[in-house]
Order: sequence, then C-alpha cells, then structure tokens
Amino acid sequence: MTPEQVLERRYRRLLACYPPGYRAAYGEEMLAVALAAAEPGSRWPDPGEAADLIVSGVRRRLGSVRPGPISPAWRDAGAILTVIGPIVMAAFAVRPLPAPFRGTDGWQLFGAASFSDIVVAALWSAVAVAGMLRWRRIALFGSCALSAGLIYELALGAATDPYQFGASEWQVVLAVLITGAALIALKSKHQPISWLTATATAVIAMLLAVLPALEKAPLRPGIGGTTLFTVDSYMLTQTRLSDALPAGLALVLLVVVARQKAAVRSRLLVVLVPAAATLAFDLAAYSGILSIEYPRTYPPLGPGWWQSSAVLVAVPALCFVAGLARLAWYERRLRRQDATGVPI
Amino acid sequence: MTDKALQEPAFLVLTSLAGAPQHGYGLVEDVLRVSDRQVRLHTGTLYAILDRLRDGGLIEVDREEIVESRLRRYYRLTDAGAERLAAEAVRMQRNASAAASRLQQLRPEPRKPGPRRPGLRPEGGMA
Repeated sequence: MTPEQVLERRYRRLLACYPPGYRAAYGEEMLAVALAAAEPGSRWPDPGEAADLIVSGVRRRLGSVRPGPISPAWRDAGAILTVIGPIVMAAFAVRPLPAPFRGTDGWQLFGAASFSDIVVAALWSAVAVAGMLRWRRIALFGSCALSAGLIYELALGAATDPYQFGASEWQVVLAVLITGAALIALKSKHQPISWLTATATAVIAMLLAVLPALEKAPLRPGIGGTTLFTVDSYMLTQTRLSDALPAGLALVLLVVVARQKAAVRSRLLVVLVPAAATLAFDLAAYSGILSIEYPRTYPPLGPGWWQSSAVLVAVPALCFVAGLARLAWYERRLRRQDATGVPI
Repeated sequence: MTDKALQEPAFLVLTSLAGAPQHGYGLVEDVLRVSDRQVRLHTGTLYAILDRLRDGGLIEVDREEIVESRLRRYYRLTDAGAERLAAEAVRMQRNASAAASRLQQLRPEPRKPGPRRPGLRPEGGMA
C-alpha cells in the first residue's frame, strides 16, 4: 500500500465523524481537499487537520439533531402558509362545523354565523393580508393570539359540547402550524404568492363557506297553516354543500401548492398534511367509521379526556414527524445523486 | 444568513470567490495568500463555512470536475454574496477609519515652543 493510499484510508476514517448523508454529499470533495493539503509522502493526517475534522464532524452530527439554520425554501413555505392558512381558518370561522359533526341535528349547521365568528374570520383575514404585505411580526402576533383563543375555546368547550373537540381540534392543529409558519417566515423577504392567487383563494373559500347558509330551506306552509322547515330538502342541501367546503378548499390549496417550486411544495405538504389528516380522522371518527371514545362528557382534566386527546394529538404529531423524515430522506437522496452524478 | 458581521474566515472565503470561482483546495490556498499567510483553513472549518454561506444564498456551486479521479466542486459568489461582501468591506473600512482617528487623538501633542530668548527675531534669524 502506498503512503497516499494509507493516508486516504485514515482520512476516510476521520470523515466517519460526519453524518452519513453529509458524507455522501461532500465526503469525496473534502477528502480531495484534505489530501491535496497534506505533505507529500506523509502517511498520517496532520494533527490540526485531524482535530478539525473530528470537531467539525461531531458538531455537524449534533447540529443535525438540533434545528439548523432555516433554509430559504422553509421560509418561503412558511410565508405562503401564513397567507393560505389564515384564509382557510377564516372560511371555517364563518361556518365552523363540517357536516358529519352534528349527526341528526345537522340542520343546525346553517344557522347564521354569530358576531364573534365574523370577528374571528375578519381577524384571520387580517393575518392573511399581513402575510401578503410582509408584515411578518403582525402576522406572527395575530396567529399566536388566535391560536391561543382557539385552544382556550377548545379547552372550555370540550367539557360541555360533545362535538366541540372533534370540530375544533383540526383547526387548533392548523392554527398552531400557521403560527410556526409565521415564525419561520419572519426573515423571509419574498412576496410569497401573487395578490391574484391570494384573492382568488380567499374568494373561493368564502363562497364555499357562505353558500350553504344562503341555500337555507324555504319556509313552507305546514299542517294547520304553521310554517315549517322542509327537513328533507334541508338535509339534501346540507349534504351537498357542506361537504363542498373542505373538498373545495382542499382542491384550491392543492392548486396553490402545485404551482410552487419543488422544494417549497414538499415543505408545504409537510405542514398541510397533518392538518388534513386530523380533519379526515375527526370526520371518520364522528361519522362512525372509526370507533374512538371522544371526550364528550368527561371533565377536561379527567383520565378519559386525556386518553382520547392523546390519540387526537398523536395523529398530527406523527404525520408531521413522518413528513419531516420523508423530506429529509428524499433530499439526502437528491444530494447524493448530485454528488455522484449517478441516478439512484 | 443573518445580517450580523461576517467572521474573518467567511469574509476571506467570500473575498477569494470574488476573484473567480474556486474549488475547495483552491480556496484554502487563496485564503492563505489573501490573508498574508495569517489564516489557514482546515478542511472541516472550510466546509462548515461553505455550508453556512450556501444556506444563506451568498455562494452557489458553479461546476463540478473530476481531476485525477477526485471530485472537484467549484463555488462562485452570488449577487447577494457580492452585495454582502461589499457591505462588509464598507463596514470594516469605517471601523478601521474610526480606530485610526481615535489612535491619532491618543498621540502626544507636539511641545509648545518655549519663551523666546531676547535677541532672536520672530522669523528665527539672528539679530
């Protein structure tokens, strides 16, 4: 074995201090630099170089555990979510409960939005506008305050209203994700999406939210001259239009997300999927597809409440972690492909 | 990348890349030259700096070459990197001027001329 080969082998051992993904992307390049800088004919790495590689490698490993610097793609994704997330929240504030949550009492769904609902919708809209205007701190403060309000409302309502938890939980998840997005977008200087896209999304969301209320069943003369709601047509309207809000909004969001660059798109999905999964899980649970004991009559801090809540918190948390892990794996694979030039 | 001052090695790497795109070892050599052999970057430190600068959008990969079966990746300065380097150079120049000006104030003032002896002309010529 020549001295160069011995030296290369020793440098490779030192490079093992770096995480595998980083080594795959930069290992060969770093090895070339270290070997070029070595004294000709030497069999051992320079002590300073060796110590530097060990320290930097360990730091990189620790750094991969801690949150690293926020990449521009994450910032852009955060900035976009700070706009489209509040639009979704505003739409559901106007008409808060999707159809399956009310069961046989479904016709109550179309009651007019209360004054406080309209105020909350206006506040979420203001957060979206702040996001568009790049008033990042205001967007962060607004989403923080509204998330806190939702959590408070959920904590109070879950004990008294049997369906409150399932109806609000996914909104709490989305609100928390919006707050996180506003936080990582603080340093973003880009206009996240065009005004046209934001306005179109908001208009479609509001139409989807308001249309069911406009389609209230007509009053018809009933027995003995009394006026009654025509329950059949009411239920039909409810089924058709109330389902249109989540489905229609999901479609609009997919279009907005699909128009972004690949790196931003994948990050947006990491953030949006947990909220969508929670909503789907709640819908399935309330419509009886899944049997889950919801915190209906338990006191907020009772044991049953925590068991059910743990399941509901676990769904978005697991989705988020799985999304992050998948993104990290995919990007590591891309970097490796870039470094070697060999398609994987 | 945050707006706080660049550390010296990062500043020197940007300075080196302002000349032309460079690969890793080229950067080590050029930084040594630019710093008058005062700063020698080790490989681990160099790549930590390159990571930070690239994450901040100040540099980007220019091209890759295989030389003697070894990978060589060339880096170049981005427009944002050039702006940042220029701003940093101005800031350092301003600080250096301030330091020089304060140091000048520290110097002892030249002695005032003592009372003139009689017989000496104001112009300094002999009577």
